[in-house]
This record gives sequence, structure tokens and C-alpha cells, in this order.
Amino acid sequence: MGAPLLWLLAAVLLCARAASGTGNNIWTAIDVSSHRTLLTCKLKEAISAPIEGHRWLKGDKVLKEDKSDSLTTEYEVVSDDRSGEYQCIFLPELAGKADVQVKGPPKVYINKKSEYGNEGDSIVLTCKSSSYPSIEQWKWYKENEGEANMILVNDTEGRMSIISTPEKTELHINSADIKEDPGKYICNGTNSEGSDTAVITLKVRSRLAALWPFLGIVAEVLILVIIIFIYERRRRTDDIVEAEPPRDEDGGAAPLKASSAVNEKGGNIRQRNSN
Amino acid sequence: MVRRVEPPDGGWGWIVVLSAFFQSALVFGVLKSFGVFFLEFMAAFEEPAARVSWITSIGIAVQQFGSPVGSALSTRFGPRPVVMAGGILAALGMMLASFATSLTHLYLSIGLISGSGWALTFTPTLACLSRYFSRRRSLATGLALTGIGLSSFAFAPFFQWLITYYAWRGALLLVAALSLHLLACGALLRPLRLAEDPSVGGPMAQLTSLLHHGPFLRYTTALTLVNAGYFIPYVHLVAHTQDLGWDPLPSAFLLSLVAVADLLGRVFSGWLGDICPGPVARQLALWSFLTGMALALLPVAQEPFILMALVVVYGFTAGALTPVAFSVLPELVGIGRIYSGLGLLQLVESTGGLLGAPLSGYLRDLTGSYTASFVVAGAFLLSGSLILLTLPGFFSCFFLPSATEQNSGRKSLEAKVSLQSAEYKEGIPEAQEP
Repeated sequence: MGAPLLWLLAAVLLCARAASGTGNNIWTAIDVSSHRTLLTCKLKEAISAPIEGHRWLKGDKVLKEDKSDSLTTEYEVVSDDRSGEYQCIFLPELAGKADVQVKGPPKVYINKKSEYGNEGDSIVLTCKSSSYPSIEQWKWYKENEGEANMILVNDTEGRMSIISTPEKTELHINSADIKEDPGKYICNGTNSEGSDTAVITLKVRSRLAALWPFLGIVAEVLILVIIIFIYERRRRTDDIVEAEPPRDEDGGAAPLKASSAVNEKGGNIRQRNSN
Repeated sequence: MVRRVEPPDGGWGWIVVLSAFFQSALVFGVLKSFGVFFLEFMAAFEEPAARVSWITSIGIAVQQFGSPVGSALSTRFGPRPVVMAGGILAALGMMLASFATSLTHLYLSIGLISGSGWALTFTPTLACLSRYFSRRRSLATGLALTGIGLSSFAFAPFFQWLITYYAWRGALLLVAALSLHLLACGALLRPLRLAEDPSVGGPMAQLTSLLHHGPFLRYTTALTLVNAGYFIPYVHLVAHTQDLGWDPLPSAFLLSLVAVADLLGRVFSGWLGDICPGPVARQLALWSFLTGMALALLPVAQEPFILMALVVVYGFTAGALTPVAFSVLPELVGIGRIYSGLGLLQLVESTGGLLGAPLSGYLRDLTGSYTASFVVAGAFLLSGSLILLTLPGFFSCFFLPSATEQNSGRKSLEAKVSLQSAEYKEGIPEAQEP
């Protein structure tokens, strides 16, 4: 009677022990508070070779490395996007490693808050997320003033299509319409822990937007040129009135006989004679 | 016919300075800031960066190699019609580019057409400026060239805003409208008849006479060497600092520092060039020497502070050598040949610029760091400054300001006397020269 009970107790203890860590010999813990998340890995039993250091990874990226020989290593996640699959490794690599999975609601990222597109071109709006667990569902909405947001769906003969993977979602607009398409687009990503949204404002440029400023500036340049030539013609006629008619187009090399009031810096012309 | 002996040194000349200021801004400022369009072209035509960057390379090459053409036309027709035609071409190229459907269209419209337009504007304007000034030539040139520095600052963010707001096609259209202001700048270039002009003949005669002019050839060689080394830091400084472990933001800030120092150097040297007696070539040699030293010492600087100081020195001295480089030419070849001289000079020295950057890149790939590149650049500048020592009159101690001009002015005046005595007989009342 006692022996099976003892075996049962031993089995339960063993199972409970295994459940507290993902590796046989490493104990892991996740301490979540409002400001920070602390991940801890502890080698439960010392191994024959000494510990040379620790390394923390998130996915493929190395977060931190050190050379201390302690049996415990900690990593504090400071960023907002704390969910993900982390890994702590005791160096040398065979000493032990463990996965620490921090679950959390997703965080959705966009490239730019405002996107511009040209009338008639195809436009792609993109939202990304690298959360853990990965996004199960992406949804797109278009904001409608006053009324409920319009849900956007794949419209095979229409202009919009949505292509999604757990890491990113793309809203393709085929031929941008300047009346209907500008506005705020909302992408929403949901996983088992929650959801997050991001807003992208789309502006559609008309094809001829630059034409009016262009014509305006060209007109301004032509007016400037006309003014310059008129000014010069009037100076020449002044010269003609004051002095003998000049034979050439020079504005600067006015005849000597002209009064110095007409010439700019007439003194220079005077100096010439004294050389 | 009335001709001046001395340039007016003021008066309408200051308007020409203004025109040259806007010209250098619209030609080189646009060229330097054009990089912001590259990402758009790469996305729109799905071409790699190397192929897209050919657009500005073609534009620069056409501008440099076309400058003798601009000069020859200016000698024949005066600078005004040539520069105005150049302005129309530059704007036309940009306008056609806004309708481009392939990269080749951009090569032809921006590279070839706008490049030709720029070739017809820059050199004739600067030469015209030299004709308007003698005593204050360096200052005028220095002030005019500050247009390049300021526009490099302003145009890059401005173009970026244009692209965001109007898309690249609309932005190109508006840059075309901006470039059209070259037309107005050209209109301001009133022709000036100087005493030397008839004695030096038409454009072809001038070009051949220049090619036989010993000092001119030496000067051209010196400037080609200077040009080879001059642009290296602009191209490689950021990469070099990142090799040393700097972050991108301080590296970019370093370039801005160089640009500011460059601006100050131009104005200072322009002012100095005019008030210092003696040939301007001396100052050019001094500034080239200092720039070469700064470049050669650059790899030695490991501390950020020393590097920054050296870079500022480089910026200042490099900017300082530009106005005097243009001022030496009239003293050397005479003001009558200035258009041809400047055009030919630009053509030859541009080969230095074209070779310098790839050479330094090649050295970098060969040796693994930019040390060799900077040292070689410094060596180019130093050898250029040494050649400048061989220019005539360099070592004269008892020089009066612009004595060479008085000499050449007097000679051509003597030539003029016989011409004008002939004109007296024709009964033209204005000829009052002694």
C-alpha cells in the first residue's frame, strides 16, 4: 500500500519539478511589472566545467553577452515591445540553454504616419508586428467621419486587396482615386493576449498639382527678364539724351563726355585718363 | 569706339556678383543636392544606385567638357546671350525629365541637355565677373562662389520637401522653373568692352594662343593636380569617420562644419586676395599648400577633437583657394582672353577631379583604410602648389598691385593707339583716348 503511494508521490514531484523550467537543469522565471520585465535563468546544479559567460538572444538577435561565471543570469527588457521568444545561453554552449517565452499583446508598427500616393498609381500601406505569440488576425478599417469605420475587405474585382502574414499586413490600392481614397486607415492586429492598432493617413496628389506653381514661376522669371531689359534700355536712352549716341550696347562703357551723374562710379572713367 | 582700359571695379559689377551668386547656386547647388532624387528614381525605374548616379556624373562631365564651348561662344557673342541660352537649356532638360519613362530619358534630359545648359552658364559668368573687377576681383569672386556653399545647405531639404509634396515628377518640374532663373541671371550680364579685346582676336585664335602660352599650361597642370586632391574629403570623409567608429549623425555634422568653414574661407581669401600686394598666385600656392598639409595630416588624427580641428582647417583652406584660383587667370593670360582661358582651364582641371575620387576609392580598397587616399590627395595638392612657384613674377619682391595688368593694359593700349588713330579718321566723336 505504501510503496505505490511513494512511487506516485515521487512521480508527481518529478513532474512538478520539470514544469518549473523548460530545460532539465535550468530554472527560469519571468517577473512582469508595469515598467519592466525581468527574465531570470539559473543553473540548478553546478556542472563540471566552469561557466565562462552568458548570452541572451531574442529570436536571432543577440541582446547581451557577459563573461561572468555566476550560475544566475538576468536580462531586463526595457523596450515597450517585450513579448517574444527569448533564449538564455550559458557559455560554453554545451553548459545549458533555455527558452523563455514572454507572452504579451502585440505591438503594431508603421513606417510613416503619412503616406503619399499619386492619382492613378497603386499604393501599398503596410503594418508590421513582431510580437509573441504571433498575430492571428489582421483587420483594416477606413475612418469615416461621424459614422462607423468602414471595414475593408478583399475586393477581387475592386481596387483594394489585403495580403497578410503573421508578421505584416499590406493593403493594396490599385488605382488611387483622389476623391475617395484619401483619409485615415486603421490596421488592427490581434493575438491571444490582446490587440493593437495603428493609423496611417493617406494623401493622394493630383497629377497636375505642380503645374500651377510651375507656370507661376515661369511667368515670374519672364517678368524679371523684361524688367531688366526695360531698365537697361531706359539707361541707354538717358545716355543718348545726355551725350552722343553710343554706337554699341555697353551700359558700363558710357562715353566720356557724359556727366558723372549718369555714369555709375564715374570716377573710374576719370582715372583712366590719368594713367 | 569706346573701350575701357581698366575694368570698372564696382558699379554694375556688383550686380554681376549677385548674378554669379545665384548662378553658382543654381548650377552647382542643384547638382550637389540632386542626390535626394536618387531614391525616387531607383524606386520608380527599379534600377540600382550605381546606374542612377550616372545621371549627375553625365551632367557634371557635360558641364566640364562643354565649358570651352561656352567660353568660345561668349568670346564671339558676349556672355549675355550664351548664359541666357544656357538657362533655357538647363530648365528644358529638367522639364523633359519630369516626363521620363526610363532611366535613359533621364541620362539624356538631365545629363545631356541640362548639362549643356550648365556648361553655357557657369564659366562665362565667372569670366564676365573677372572682367568687371580688377582691384577687388578676388573678393567679388569669393562672394559669388559663396552661392555654392549656401545652396548646398538649402536645396537638399527643399528638394526633399518638393518630392514629398509633389512627387518626383512634380518636383522636377518645379526645379526646372527654379533653374529658369538662370535666364534672368544671364540678362544681368551686361557686355563690357575692354581695351585688350581686339588685340587678342576671335575664339579660335585665342584658344591656339593659350595652348602655346607656357605659364598658362603650367597653371593648368597645377590646378589639375589641385583638383585631383581637392574633392577627396567631400567624397570620403563620412566613410572615413565611420571607419573610425563614429555614428552617422556626428559624421554628417562634420560635413556641415566643413561647409561652413569653406564659406568663411572663400570670403576671407577673397578679401585678402585684393588687399595683399603682389601676385595672387602666391596666395593660391599658400592655400593649396595648407590644404595639402591638412589632408596629409588627416589620417594621423585619431582623437575626435583633433580630427574636427583638422577638418575645419581643410574646409577653410580649400574654400580659400577657390576665389584666388580664378583671380590668377586674368593676371596670367590677360583679361581679353579670359573666356577662352577659363573654359580651357575648366576642361583640363576637370580631368583631375574625375580621376581623383575613383583613385582614392581604389586606394582604399587596396589598403583597407583611407590613410593612403588622404595622403595621396595631400601630395597632389602639395605638388600643385609647387608648380605654382614656377609662374612668372612669383618671386618678385617689389610688386605693385595688378602691375601685370598695367603692363598688358599698356601694351594693348599702344596697339590700340594705332587702331584708334585709324578710327579718328573715320570721324567717330567718342574716341577721346590719349
